[in-house]
Amino acid sequence: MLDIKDLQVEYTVPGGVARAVNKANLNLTEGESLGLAGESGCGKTTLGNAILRILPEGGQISGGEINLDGIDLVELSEEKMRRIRWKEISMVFQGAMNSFDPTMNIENQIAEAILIHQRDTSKETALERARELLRLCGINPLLGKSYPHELSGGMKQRGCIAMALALQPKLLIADEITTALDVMTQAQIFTLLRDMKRKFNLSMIIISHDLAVLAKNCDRLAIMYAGHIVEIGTIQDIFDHPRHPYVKGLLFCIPNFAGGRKIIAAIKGAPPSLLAPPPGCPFHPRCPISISECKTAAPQLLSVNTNNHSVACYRKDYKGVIWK
Amino acid sequence: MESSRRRIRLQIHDLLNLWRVFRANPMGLIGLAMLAFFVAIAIFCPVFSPYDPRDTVGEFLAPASPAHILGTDQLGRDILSRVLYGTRISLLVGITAAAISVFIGTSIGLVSGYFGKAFGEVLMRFTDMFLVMPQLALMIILAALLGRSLFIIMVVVGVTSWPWMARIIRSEVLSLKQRPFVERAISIGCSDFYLIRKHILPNVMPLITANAILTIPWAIVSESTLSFIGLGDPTAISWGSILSGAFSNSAIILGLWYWFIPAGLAIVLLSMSFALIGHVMDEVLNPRLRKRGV
Repeated sequence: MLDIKDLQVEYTVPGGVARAVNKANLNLTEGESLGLAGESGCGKTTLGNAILRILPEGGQISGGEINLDGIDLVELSEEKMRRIRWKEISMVFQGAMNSFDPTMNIENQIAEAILIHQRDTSKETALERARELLRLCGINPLLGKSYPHELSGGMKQRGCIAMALALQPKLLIADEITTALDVMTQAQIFTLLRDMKRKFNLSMIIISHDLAVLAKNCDRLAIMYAGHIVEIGTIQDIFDHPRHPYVKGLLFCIPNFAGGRKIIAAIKGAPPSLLAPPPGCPFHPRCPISISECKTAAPQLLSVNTNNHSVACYRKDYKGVIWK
Repeated sequence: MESSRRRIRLQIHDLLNLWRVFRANPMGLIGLAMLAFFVAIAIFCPVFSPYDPRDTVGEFLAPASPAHILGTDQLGRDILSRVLYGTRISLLVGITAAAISVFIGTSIGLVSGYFGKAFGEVLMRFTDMFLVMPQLALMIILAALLGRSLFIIMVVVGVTSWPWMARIIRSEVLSLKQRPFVERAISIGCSDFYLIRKHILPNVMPLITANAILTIPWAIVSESTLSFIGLGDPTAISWGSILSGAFSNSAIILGLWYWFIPAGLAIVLLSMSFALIGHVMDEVLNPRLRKRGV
């Protein structure tokens, strides 16, 4: 359904050109949910925005393809892209708290998406649908008349999900949707998201840095590092048989309740600057098992089993202990 | 047909809501009452004023008396009648000039803020050019060059007072453009025009309204200034021309306070009524400033 090939996104900034997404390859089948994890600044959000082609000023897609049901979104004109946005792919944004226009009540804002894409719908019908969507997302439809500042954070987030579902898209991109919410609300929002996914047979890309949340809500997981997708596979494959040293390190950092007391090791160093990335594998300066090959050419994302578990590492078959 | 009727009903409903919030604020009501008073005078001044303001109806420079409550001026015209009639000019010039100013300022601010880049920069340098020119000097030059009619006074005041409005609107639009809800609107598939009309404009509306209402007293004072220094429409009766007459005939030295105090007070009170309304309108149009429970 969604097939991303060698996608590259660059930002032109005063210090030069930063490659925020580098040769990313991803695919997503219908009804599947993919988690996208990585630390701040690794290009998760940029990748999500690139799919909808709503990169901020200075950002552009400099190569690759984003195929949605065989149509390359990168090649589409702005006008055609506008028609695809929300209808085929919708998004729930990072900091959904501010995703509503403060001067419009929320049912009007949900109806807006319907009215823009389906010109022949009457305003009454659109508002009716908006209220129905609110009810579906667990908000009393009577609250549709409220302005955003009159709702709590969790309610606003539910409203955002209702808005994202307005045109029954095939793909929903959820970008850090629970970052500002407390744990209880977080759980409720994801329960809602799972229900909606089942109900509408949605495909989802869930962007988060919270591995626990992703493990619970996704079928597959992609880990990004400095603009590269370094490992991608099913939840079981990634959590039980990680291959990339960075992913192994990440998982090693998760404290284990059952597993007695131990000191958690951090990965030494910091992610590289995207303006001057190291040659070869971006992780090699921090990698304890890097070899000379790692310094010359970036490794390809290669399949390691029949389950589509792929890793971009020359040492993916290394069996020894890396982190302790 | 049906839907347009419904839309009208919806708008009436919205207006009633605004009025409900406005009503809750005594300051706004005082301002509105003062404005209503002046508007009533402007409409009914032929009924209220004892004489025709253009006719010589008494002695020159007659002191206050029952026949001429505020006395007469150097041409023997009744000052009270002139002050009453002056309300018309002040309101007309104030509102029209402010409308011109707000229209230019808002358009330039919106366009340069939203479309940004080189085009916006050019527009802003143009705005800066107007901003650095002393307004009074510019007004005097324009009024002197273009002639002395009421229409020209309105245009001159309007054309010289928009730059700061454009700057305020632009900076607000620039900040709005970065907000997540604009990003969301773009991702929903809104066109530029739709986005400006439905999301940007309503969000700068409180700013526009408050500034528009605050531009009116500025325009009133500007008109008075131009009239005072003799650049106003010589045939128009305005508070500025009354003050000008009082000044050139040494009303202060002669102690004819009833000649200049009422006109001056009228300028102050009318300006104040707009300032009070402007303050409350800001609250009414900005849902976040509303008091809870209203």
